[in-house]
Amino acid sequence: MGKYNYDKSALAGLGVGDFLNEVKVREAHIAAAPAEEIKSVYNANILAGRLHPDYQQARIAEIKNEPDAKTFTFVQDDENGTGALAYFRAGQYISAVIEMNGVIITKPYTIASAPKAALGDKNTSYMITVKKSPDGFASEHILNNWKEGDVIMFSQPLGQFYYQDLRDAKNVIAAAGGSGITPFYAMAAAIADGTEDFNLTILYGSRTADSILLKNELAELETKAAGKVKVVHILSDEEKDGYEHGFITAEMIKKYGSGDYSVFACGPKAMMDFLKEETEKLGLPGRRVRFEVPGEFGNPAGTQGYPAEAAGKEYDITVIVRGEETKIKCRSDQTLLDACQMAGIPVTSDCRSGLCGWCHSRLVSGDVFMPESADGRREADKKFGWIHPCAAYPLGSVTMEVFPNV
Amino acid sequence: MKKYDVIVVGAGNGGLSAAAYFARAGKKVLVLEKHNLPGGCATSFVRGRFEFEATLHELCQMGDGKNEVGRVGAVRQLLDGYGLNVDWVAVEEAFRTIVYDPEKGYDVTMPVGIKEFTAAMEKEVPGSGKFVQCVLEYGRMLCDGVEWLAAHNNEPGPLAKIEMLLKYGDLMKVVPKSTNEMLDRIGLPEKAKYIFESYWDYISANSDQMSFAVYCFMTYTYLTQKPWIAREKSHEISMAFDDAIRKMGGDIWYNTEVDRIDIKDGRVKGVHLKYGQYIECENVMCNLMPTVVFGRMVDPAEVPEREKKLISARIIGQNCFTLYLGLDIPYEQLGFKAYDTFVRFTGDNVKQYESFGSLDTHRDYCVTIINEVIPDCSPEGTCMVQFAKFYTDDAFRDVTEEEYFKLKDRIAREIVEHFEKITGIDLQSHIEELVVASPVTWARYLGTPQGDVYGYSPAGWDGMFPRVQSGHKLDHTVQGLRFCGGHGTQMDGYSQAYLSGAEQARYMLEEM
Repeated sequence: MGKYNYDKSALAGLGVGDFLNEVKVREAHIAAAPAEEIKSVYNANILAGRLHPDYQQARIAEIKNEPDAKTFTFVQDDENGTGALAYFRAGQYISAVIEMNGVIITKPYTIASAPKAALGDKNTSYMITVKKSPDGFASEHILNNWKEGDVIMFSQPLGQFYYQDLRDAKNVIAAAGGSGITPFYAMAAAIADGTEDFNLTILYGSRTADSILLKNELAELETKAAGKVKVVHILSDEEKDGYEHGFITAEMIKKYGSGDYSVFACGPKAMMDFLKEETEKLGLPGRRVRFEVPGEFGNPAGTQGYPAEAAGKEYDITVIVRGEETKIKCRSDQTLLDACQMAGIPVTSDCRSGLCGWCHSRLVSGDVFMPESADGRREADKKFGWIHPCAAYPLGSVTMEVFPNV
Repeated sequence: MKKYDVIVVGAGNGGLSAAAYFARAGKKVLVLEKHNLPGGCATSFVRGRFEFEATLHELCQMGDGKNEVGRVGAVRQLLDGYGLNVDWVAVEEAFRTIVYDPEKGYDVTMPVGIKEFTAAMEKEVPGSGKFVQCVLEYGRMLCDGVEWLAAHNNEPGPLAKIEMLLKYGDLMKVVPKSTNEMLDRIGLPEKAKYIFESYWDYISANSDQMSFAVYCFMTYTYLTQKPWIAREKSHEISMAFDDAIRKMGGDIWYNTEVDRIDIKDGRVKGVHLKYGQYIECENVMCNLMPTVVFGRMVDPAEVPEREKKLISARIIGQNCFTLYLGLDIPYEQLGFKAYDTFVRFTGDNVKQYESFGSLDTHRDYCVTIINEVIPDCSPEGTCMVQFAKFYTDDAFRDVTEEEYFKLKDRIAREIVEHFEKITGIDLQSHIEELVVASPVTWARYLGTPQGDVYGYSPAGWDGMFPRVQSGHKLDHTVQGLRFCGGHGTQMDGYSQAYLSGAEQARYMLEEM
């Protein structure tokens, strides 16, 4: 036809018969195949299920008292369907589902124990340490109520606060405060048993020598790790021989860090804020400084960009779940996630820091305040009006659609 | 509870497209998605100050009409028709392809545009230009033919078949032929052939098994209509779908996993949700692989014999290992320039495919740098470099829980060190964020067997053309149940999944 300028000789000997027969050939292939049982699960699927279970049921096997805190050891609860706890990376957390006065809330806790303790099919365990915190309803509830034999539901292991040798320096200076020791305890244990291989110097800030969490256990790990783990205690409220005094400052980090090193920080929000300023003085590139997610932002009043007139109010919130509307209230210093969970609407959530995105919800109408430092949304979420209610505060009446998984 | 005309299970690319199609047709549609986000593969994630694209390399058939052939791509028409609010960005190059064989190696960047592509090939392989021209003329014919077929809903009636024979007899001749055979018949020199076949990473069949027509059509389309991406990553496309579907009256429930599809006497009755609810509905569109649905979501007594046979005859496509790096160095200073690069030990993809089956033998990967196309896709002074390795078999079959994290780290390190070695670039001094997704990760998010990302291999008998001709009736075995997605008739890829969703929704509407 001359419409196309290609060399027709390449088609020599070719007919259209094969094309017209293609469906027949396909049918013949299907007809010739065995009608065997369909295999849809392979090793990658099995591993995915083991490493990332929807939920884990764990029973409290042991409780150890710590200063203003308790360390709980959990074991798999076969009877409730968890045959083995999920393996994880030292530094990851699990989100606990806590039933409290008839409402269900979730709170993240770092797994303090070594990943090895969760390996295999039998006798898997996690250890978490819960410290009393001044305005922590959940921690108070846990310390007062959780007892041996109780079964608690957890998420799969989550979070990115773990060592990666391709990214991090071989020497890591850990800056820890209070229960923020837990990820480093797990890392130290993983180094001691050979799961991880890097040098970890833990600068651990406590108020007094008596308030140090996991003190003896840390000393044991230090010995076991044969030079790869070093623990330095820093006391803010006490001067004592054998202890550093004051806060974890840039000077302190410099004293223990030399050559190429990474700084990992985990602790109460005030300490993390202080450390952000201190680590900046070190002049390290951003990739050498890593902070664990900070936890709840807290009262947004006074934050840059927060409208002063919004403070101290309570707003009407309409929450849509699978087409059904519920009216609830939310104080202006309360996150929308918190208001939902307190009202018995089990919005999914893990990090409660605005960052992991698990609570991703649709803002139908109304205005909310999202602190910049806790706004971990994707760019397109902003374009289409989606929010992370764990770090969003109402500035008036709000209608939102949320997506519980129960 | 509200009554729905149709339920879409899975808000991946195919499911979203189908849902939009139903909603636009005035049907009450409910989308059920087990994750908290739409898109399936089409998503992004945030780490530190970076937002990484999860999977999108480039969309095909997205021409905006302002190209040399003046053609508005079929996928562009479809997505515009849904009213998607997406800021599309064209990629101004075809690909860079590096073969690191010390003797037969090359490193070539191929431009878009027929003339430009042909000239670049002529320059790299003197004397190949006229053959490339010929191949792309076939491409032009194939593109017209595919459009003609689409205008006849891929099912030309008896009269139209005669017209097809007259107009597109050549298309019919080349469809059953493999890419290698046709390129050899045309006389393309070996090296030019290898360069031309660089896109193979994206298709789970080698060039001895892949239809020339499909491969040539795809390449011609990329060259004339350009590859396209979304400014705010593929999450923008998925969120735009969510927005459009709701505006057209559809509902989408996230975190809502469908556990079982209720089928009685060969007819869909409804779906059971994992948390207990049952929703009655006589029409269910699955954006899930039939292997998964018939393997574990349906009463075994209701699985048609044909499905068992079809599934056992098919080969799972490819699974994938991806590595995402956020670097604290500006793209201009990286010392490597290209949006999409295929790094291979040989240009011969048949040999490549033999090596893709296991962790020990697999050596190749592709590299994507969005900053080349969208300079401000990452913060100032940074860039993002992403790698993908595709495995043709159950590559993680023997991996234990204990060695899993170490293995991920090992493969990531191998990729980085290899790339550093062949390019002389220092990546390791700049890694600020690092994320790895293995076949296990994909298995977790997609639920596909082996963590498969490409559906079923479109090799030989199960290629695109026979699939398309079977997708209306022959592969439809349960009343009220249809399938769409990257495993569908149109093969893998975003564009193909969108087309598949529309195609299957159109068929389902006929039956509703």
